[in-house]
Amino acid sequence: MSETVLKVQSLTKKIGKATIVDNVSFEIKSKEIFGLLGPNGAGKTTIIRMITGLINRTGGTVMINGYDLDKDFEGAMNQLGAIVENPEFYKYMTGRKNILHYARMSPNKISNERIEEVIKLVKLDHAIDKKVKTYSLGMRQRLGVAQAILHKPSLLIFDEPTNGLDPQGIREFRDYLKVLASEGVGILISSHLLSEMQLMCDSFAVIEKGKLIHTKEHIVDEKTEAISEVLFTVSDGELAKKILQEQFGNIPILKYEANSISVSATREQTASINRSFNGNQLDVYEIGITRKSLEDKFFEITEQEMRESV
Amino acid sequence: MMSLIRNEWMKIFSKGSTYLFIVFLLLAAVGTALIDYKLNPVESSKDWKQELQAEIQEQQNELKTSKISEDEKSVIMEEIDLNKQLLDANINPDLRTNWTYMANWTTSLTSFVTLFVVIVCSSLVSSEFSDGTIKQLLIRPYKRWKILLSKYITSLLFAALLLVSLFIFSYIVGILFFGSGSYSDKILDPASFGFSPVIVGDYFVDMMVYWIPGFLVITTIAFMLSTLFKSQALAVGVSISILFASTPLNLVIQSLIEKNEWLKFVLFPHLNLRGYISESFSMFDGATLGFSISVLAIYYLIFLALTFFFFQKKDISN
Repeated sequence: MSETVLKVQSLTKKIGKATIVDNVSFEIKSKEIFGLLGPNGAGKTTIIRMITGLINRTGGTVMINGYDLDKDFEGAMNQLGAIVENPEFYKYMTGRKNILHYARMSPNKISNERIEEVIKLVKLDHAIDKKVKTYSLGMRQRLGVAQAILHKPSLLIFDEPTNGLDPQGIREFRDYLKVLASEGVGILISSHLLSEMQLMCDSFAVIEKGKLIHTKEHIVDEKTEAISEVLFTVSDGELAKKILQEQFGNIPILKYEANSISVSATREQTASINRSFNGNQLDVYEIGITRKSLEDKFFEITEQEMRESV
Repeated sequence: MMSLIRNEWMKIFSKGSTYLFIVFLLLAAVGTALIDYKLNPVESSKDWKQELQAEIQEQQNELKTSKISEDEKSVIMEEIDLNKQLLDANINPDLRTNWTYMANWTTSLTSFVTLFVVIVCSSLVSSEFSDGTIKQLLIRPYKRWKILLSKYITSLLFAALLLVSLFIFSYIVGILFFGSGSYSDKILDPASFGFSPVIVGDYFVDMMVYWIPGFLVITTIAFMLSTLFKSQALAVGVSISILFASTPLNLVIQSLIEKNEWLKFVLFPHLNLRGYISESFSMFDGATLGFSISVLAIYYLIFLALTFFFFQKKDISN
């Protein structure tokens, strides 16, 4: 099995004179959760539909786990599991029949044990014999995950997977992704919900107006020496400011109020500031850390692009 | 391919309306038998030969009276001739069995089979689009044409099922109402005048077999339209309109065909081949069964090719 589960090269889609997707290339490795970010209408869905063979490409190649989509469509598709946009099912059939339907479409025989295993994994055992029209969106999403992973594909694609899910559904979905990735699957997710992607993805690409404008920034790990915005809620903001200026002159103060002060600091610095506050009879009620979010990074990147293009 | 067909079959039979179609055919069989039974009560006790002889006697007596005109005379003489021929050939003109019932009524109920198959086959494609399931269906390790072909084959299998059901229902209902008859009983050809005896079973089979080519073309039109326009309503509406409009349109075409040779190649006159069962029949000068079947076959292949070509190339973007 090749290490790269998805290799997209110079993917282009033109409709008439408009270029919807412009020369996009990227790679996803096994065990990687890769986020495709961008505002609505940037071309994410078009990219996903080209990778899944739903729409024709104007140019470019797609390799799924080593199978070329053009030369061996069936081979490539056998390596793929996906939910394209909303998880749609045959609503007049039961969940089990829907799963059976997709199980039959796999060239490798899928055993009843495997079907049961997948149904249990997505916690649908209690509802699997009910018709899908009775399912909540969260249940349909889980059934969507079930049909996607049934045949143990090496690449999973989820297009806007958290659309319409409640917080618990989103959390469950995130947990599935982590489990699947740890089993060796490469996962491609598209979303415009940046904060959500931050929690899910290992790496990401930003797409805007059909162009890939930033690729493969590994999301900063919590344990690194990254500088975060730290907000201390204290008994006396004036005093806090004084202590900081005297003892931590190199740490920038972002803003302070009567009962709070926020600074840019690393984890180590945050700890020593806290110790120093305590030593100076300043009560600390709360320490909040605002991590530099993917959202900020996204806007940073897109704004930079805008400035450059102007 | 087998698993694809099983999937489509499962979809058809997961819908309640499918069962309604089959129940409807049963009710239609019972209903038509009931109408036939009420309109012409079966008098099985009498000896039909004696009756026919009595009728001939009566008609001959009528001829002897001087009150009737020459025209009426010739009509009565023709009737006597026919009755004598029936007697000679041992054909009961009032024969009522399950086979005569099927020859008269079941052959008309096939229109419902067309309607139901058109509804089912256009929903097999269009509902994948309207439910959004087409996206999940086409990202499987099957080429698109195979998926479409499985739907087409399943439609034809469903048609076969409806036909067999209709046959079984009619056969049994016919026995219950009119008693069991023989396949090889002779009747007069309902489509022609005068003395033209046919075997009732052969007539029934002919009526069904000559119906199939037109049926296939109508179904394929529905399949094509639902694939091209993703709309079941449009597919059903247009294909059923073609079915029912073809009779009046044929009258127009027949009147214009002398001056417009190309009208021979229009689809409509060829959709109903049952006329060809009577040997004397001709749609228009030079029209033969072979010609009609060739025209149908060409339309059929064009419709299928368009459907598959279009589906193969289509961007799935809904």
